[in-house]
Amino acid sequence: MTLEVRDLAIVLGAATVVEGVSFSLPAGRTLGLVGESGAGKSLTSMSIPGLLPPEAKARGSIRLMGRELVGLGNTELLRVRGKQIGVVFQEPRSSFNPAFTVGEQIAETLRWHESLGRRAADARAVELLGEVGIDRPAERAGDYPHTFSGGMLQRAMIAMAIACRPALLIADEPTSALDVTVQAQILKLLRSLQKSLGMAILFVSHDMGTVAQVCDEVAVMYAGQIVEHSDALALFSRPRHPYTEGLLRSVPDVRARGGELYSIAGAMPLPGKHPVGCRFAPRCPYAIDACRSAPDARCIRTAELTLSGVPA
Amino acid sequence: MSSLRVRDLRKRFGTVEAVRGVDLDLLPGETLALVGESGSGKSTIARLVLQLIAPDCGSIELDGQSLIGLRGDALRAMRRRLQMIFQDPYGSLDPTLSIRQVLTEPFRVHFHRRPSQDELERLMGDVGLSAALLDRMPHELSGGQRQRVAIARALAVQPEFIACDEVVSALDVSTRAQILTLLRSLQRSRSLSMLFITHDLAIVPYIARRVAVIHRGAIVERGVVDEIFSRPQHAYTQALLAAVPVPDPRLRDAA
Repeated sequence: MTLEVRDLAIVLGAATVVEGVSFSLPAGRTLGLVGESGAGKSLTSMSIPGLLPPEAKARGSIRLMGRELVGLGNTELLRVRGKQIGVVFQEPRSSFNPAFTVGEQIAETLRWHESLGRRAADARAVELLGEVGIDRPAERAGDYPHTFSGGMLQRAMIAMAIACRPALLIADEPTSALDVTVQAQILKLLRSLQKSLGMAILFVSHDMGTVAQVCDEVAVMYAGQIVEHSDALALFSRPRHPYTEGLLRSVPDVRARGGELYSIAGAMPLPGKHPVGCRFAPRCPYAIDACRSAPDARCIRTAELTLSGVPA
Repeated sequence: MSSLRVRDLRKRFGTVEAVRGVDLDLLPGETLALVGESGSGKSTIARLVLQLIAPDCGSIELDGQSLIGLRGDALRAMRRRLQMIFQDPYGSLDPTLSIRQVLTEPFRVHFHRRPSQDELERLMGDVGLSAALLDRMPHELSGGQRQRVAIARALAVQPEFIACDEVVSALDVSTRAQILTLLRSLQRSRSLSMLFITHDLAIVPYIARRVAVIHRGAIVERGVVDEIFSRPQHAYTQALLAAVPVPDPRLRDAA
């Protein structure tokens, strides 16, 4: 197993913002971590490479290729990050240093982790830029980030993330800042890289449309917990948690012909203000009294409810 | 209810022709979606229509009255009739003003008076916010609540025309659906004319009856949403529609 997360909790000040999160991800698979802002999906994904804000603490277990990452010191994490775990962020513009060329920054990763010499690292950086579909890679490697378009810079970011052939690639809203046509190209690139490199991908997104395009399985987060985790086909056609159904129904569909867009009433509770029992119960159209004392994150009514997914 | 008529609108920034001869017609009480990717010129069009920047040439008329070259009181009177809501409610609300102050400002600028508590409460109610939030600061509100405040501020002066520039792009799915539903019901109850600018084609069927597709500063295709989205004629519209991710893993295209 590439990644095994067991009973992860993340505490931010006095509030527990992520709780009881467990999942595993084998090589060659893509897991979508979805939910709205505040659900805890970004904190969960950033706790894996140890990139939580300093005031946040992770508890539980995160194993990468069998090795426990929780509790590792910064020096050890530096050897894991960029080497075994590649990370692609939403905004490539703020992930690159504007004062160095794109090629230099990719080469730096290689020199640091792979102990390549300057010349070998530079040559490898050019190869990587070609691999992610950048035209004239030898020329572009010498250009500064501001000369790249958003889509091209995101490709370069992906080149840097896969430079050391990581076992796990974490993509945190990698296409949310891009235009639709560019977004489609980046999703396609991620799928083809996964096919050729066989890495596991953790794909964090609030957009069910892009999740449907790339993920093999999907974990839905609500108020710091995973409320449903299924195979993508099953989750989209037969959701088992009312929040998943609500999310799917609120996704605008370009094929729709008028009508009103469904919305889940109310808002997600803030950390520290979670209701007792099922955290979704106050907004759930199916909630009954028993839900308000439900024992865990999964829906207690799942067996008796017929929830609807995306129409066939 | 007002009708907006734009003819041969052009704007150049340096050597870039941002808007290249755009015609638009917005009927009274109608919502027109203007869709395009970043850099297409769609936001520039909104800024030109609202006279936030001056066009190089072309005409913009509201109910037959030209908006170009208005100054002083005439410009201010026109601005009351045309309001704009922006993408980022963090950026468009002054962080040092309470919600009460944010909503008081348009009354002072356009009506030279302070709103009554009643008026403020009604305004908050219209956008689905509790009056208890009036004395909060913008940072204490969620993104969706902030966007509701921005809508309330635009509505405060009883405009006839509203330009919405990517107003739901920064919001989560369920908040996005709530704001779209709110805008649609406000548009109907107040017979507003609305120019709805977005890069997200999927939301267009829920907000507009007609759509114009803009590419490199020019409108390449326009018509009724149903027809354009089922039978796009222009290659660019076809490419845009094909790129929209469909929320169904069964319809995944092969890598």
